[in-house]
Amino acid sequence: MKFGKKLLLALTVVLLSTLLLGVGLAQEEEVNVWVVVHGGIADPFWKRVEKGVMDAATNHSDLEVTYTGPSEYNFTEFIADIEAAVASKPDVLVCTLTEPDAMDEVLRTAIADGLPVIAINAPDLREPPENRIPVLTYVGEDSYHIGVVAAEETLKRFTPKRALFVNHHPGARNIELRGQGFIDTLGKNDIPAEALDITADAVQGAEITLAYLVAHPDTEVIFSTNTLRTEAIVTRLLDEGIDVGNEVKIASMDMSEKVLEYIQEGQVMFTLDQQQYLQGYLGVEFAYLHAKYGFTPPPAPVSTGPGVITAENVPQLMELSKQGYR
Amino acid sequence: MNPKQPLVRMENIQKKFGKVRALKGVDFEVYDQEVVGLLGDNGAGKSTLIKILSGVYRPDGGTIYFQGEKVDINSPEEARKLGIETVHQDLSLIEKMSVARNFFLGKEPTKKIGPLEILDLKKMNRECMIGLKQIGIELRSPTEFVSTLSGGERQAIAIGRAAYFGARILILDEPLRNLSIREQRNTLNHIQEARNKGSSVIFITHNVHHVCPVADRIVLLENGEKLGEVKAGELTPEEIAECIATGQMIKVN
Amino acid sequence: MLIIQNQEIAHHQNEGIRSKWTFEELRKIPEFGALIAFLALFIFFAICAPRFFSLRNITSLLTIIAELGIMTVGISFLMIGGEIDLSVSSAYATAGFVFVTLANIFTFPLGSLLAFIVALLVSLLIGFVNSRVVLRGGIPSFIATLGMMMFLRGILLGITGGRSISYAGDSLVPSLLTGIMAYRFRPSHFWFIAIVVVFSFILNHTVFGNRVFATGGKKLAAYTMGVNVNQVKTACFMISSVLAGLSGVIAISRFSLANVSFGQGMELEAIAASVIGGTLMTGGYGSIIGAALGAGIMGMVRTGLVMAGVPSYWYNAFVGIILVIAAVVNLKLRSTILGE
Repeated sequence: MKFGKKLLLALTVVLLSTLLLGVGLAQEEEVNVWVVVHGGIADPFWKRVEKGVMDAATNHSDLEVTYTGPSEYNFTEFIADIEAAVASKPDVLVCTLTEPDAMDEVLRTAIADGLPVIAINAPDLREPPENRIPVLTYVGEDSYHIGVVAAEETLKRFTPKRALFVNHHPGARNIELRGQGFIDTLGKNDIPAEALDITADAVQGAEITLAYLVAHPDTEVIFSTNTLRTEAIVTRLLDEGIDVGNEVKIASMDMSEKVLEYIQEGQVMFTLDQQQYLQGYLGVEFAYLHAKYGFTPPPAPVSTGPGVITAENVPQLMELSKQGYR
Repeated sequence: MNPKQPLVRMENIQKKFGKVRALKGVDFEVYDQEVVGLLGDNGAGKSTLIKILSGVYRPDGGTIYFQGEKVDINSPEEARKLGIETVHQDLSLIEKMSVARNFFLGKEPTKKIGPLEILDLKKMNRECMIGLKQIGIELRSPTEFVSTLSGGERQAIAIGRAAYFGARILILDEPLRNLSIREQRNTLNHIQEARNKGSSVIFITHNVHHVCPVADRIVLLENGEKLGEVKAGELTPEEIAECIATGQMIKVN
Repeated sequence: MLIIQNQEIAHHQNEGIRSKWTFEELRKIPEFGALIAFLALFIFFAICAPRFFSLRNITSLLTIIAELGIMTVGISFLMIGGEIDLSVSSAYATAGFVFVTLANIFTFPLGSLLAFIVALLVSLLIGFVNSRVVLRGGIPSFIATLGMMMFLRGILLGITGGRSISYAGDSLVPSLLTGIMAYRFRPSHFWFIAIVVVFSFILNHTVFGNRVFATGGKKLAAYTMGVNVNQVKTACFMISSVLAGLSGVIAISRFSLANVSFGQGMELEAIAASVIGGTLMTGGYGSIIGAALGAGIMGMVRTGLVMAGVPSYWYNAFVGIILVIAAVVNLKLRSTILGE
């Protein structure tokens, strides 16, 4: 080889080695936290979580946070990202437990190997509790409690003759618990309430809800825990000539522009904000404090709300929504 | 067997497509080891007649005799079983495969390894070279892809293949079309080699100058009917061309 | 030109042994492009992404690659035969669903084995139906299999309502397919390699394989030469579906869970992997080993990017670029082989 080429090769090797060394050194000084969510991370809901994560990351100069997940919900990609995170050997892993059965093996092994895991947004609710993945803690909605608050806020406003909880994701434990909290609390006040499976299809779900109302005309409040479904149901009922907001009142969860509009116009009483920003923010904070100083975070569930959004605070909410906090 | 008895005799063949009568009762014979030119202007019925012989069409009337026995040729497969092979410039070979694989397509040699029957690639490569050499084709390498070969070379391989597998009758439809002068010369040589090796060749064209150098006999079709038949040398190529152009047979001296 | 001196033949034959390993000769291997790309990307990620080159990560990658790879081998085989199958992701999900449902019901010993066999039979049936629609119905395979893909997804969605089904059967089949071994290797890695070897052999060293090339290369010519092209294509459709189904059962065994959304979009990944591996979309040319390498590339890119700290939004963009570059490179390499 000519001398020039040899020199170039030698320089490349030196540069690469320095790069690798630098990367290795940099890692030793920092606290490395990986956050993996099932997303999709392009979804506006998860953008709030991401903002919480990134804001917490700026709190500490020696904190390095990696946030990832599939850009559209895809379970196989999500698991692949979890595996990538575990293989990267971070100090703490923060992740959602969207399918505890499927995630059990990989997380349990990682935890046994010494990786602390903090769950956010979606917990492991399998029974009995001993079978659950041994995470450090869980930060997110307390599903049962959300249902309770929904019922309590409803009762603050009026006493319905009959109530309906619509389940848009049958089989999802956390959603079932929301319904449970709602139904139980109303039951304590002798108000009949039940859960209705409105399937994964928004259009079909709206039809099923309408059919229920026709069969049970004394239903005066509907609790939906998904903004898309709330919108679909309200639209459908209005189409049918029902006076939504007076004849039938709506309680909702999470936020969207349309739902906030409905609240201002009176069709929807209130919405419950699970404050997912806090899930990201607190998740990362707890992770850092645990990794750096060994602090044990508060026990699960660390409930991030719910915040109650009504017509009064909608203007403020709209502003915060634009900024990406709520 | 009577040496004068034709290998194939097509008697009074008729074929209609809808209202169009493509063949109106054509007699056509092919003898052993001869090159027969089948001439006629476009639309004379040459392709139709030959497609009936090769099993692509079924005749509406008439009979086919093979070695004196009446036969029904209902599919290309049945034609091939009788030893009637058609060589197309474009359709006989597959460009993205090697010559050897093309050569043995449909008749692949195998060897057994335990319970498995696997492709005998060595044999294919070897035999392919030998088979082509026998009709005068020297190939660079049997593993070359057909796409690296010219039109003339491809056709040569198709002819060689048919001869190797003992085709009794080779049907060539406009084989010299799109070929360079040299390749035309080579193809004509291969046709003669194939004839010398024992096959008969039906050479279809509307260009009399293509076929005259090699034909033992020329049959002329016009408008679905047989116009006439001449032996090699009985008429000059120009006279034959005149027959085709006018649609009328010149008297043979 | 065609006719050359005897001397040249002899010279060429002597050259044969020496020249086998020159760059000229290597370039002609169909898998060459994919191999270079695979090595280049692997080295790239090993340098840029911390811990990429660790045993833990490599076994994780193998898991992903094995599942995508098995599906890719099947779809490559079919593409070489001149058709395409967009329903592979649905065959994957359907086989998984059938497996979980039946294994949960078959509580007798070896129940999961029977469930597995049924799931594979269902996959074969899907391929068979695809072949009938295409060959008897005369519908282009793109449309026919697109319809099948949507049809199956719809049925699964209707039956499950989007719910996940947990695996409650015995552990026989799951552990044989995807049970964790030493250092997190899994049987699926070896099944994948075995499938690559077997199908590469079938393609290149059997009569059937020769006819697959022919059918995909020029159907009419193959038919003229006596190849039963319909039979060949039917077999290819069934190979594509059954391998996709196998991949689905493996994935479901790993997650202990079946959900109708699993595998959505995977058909495009498998096709991309196939094309990156050197298989021609128009048929007649390709490589199973190339397909495996293509799957390796697709499988490694996502993890590599994530571990290198690239925001995951860029994953699709990166894959898109790789696909186009790979297609161009393969085109150039192919033209030297095919002399086009």
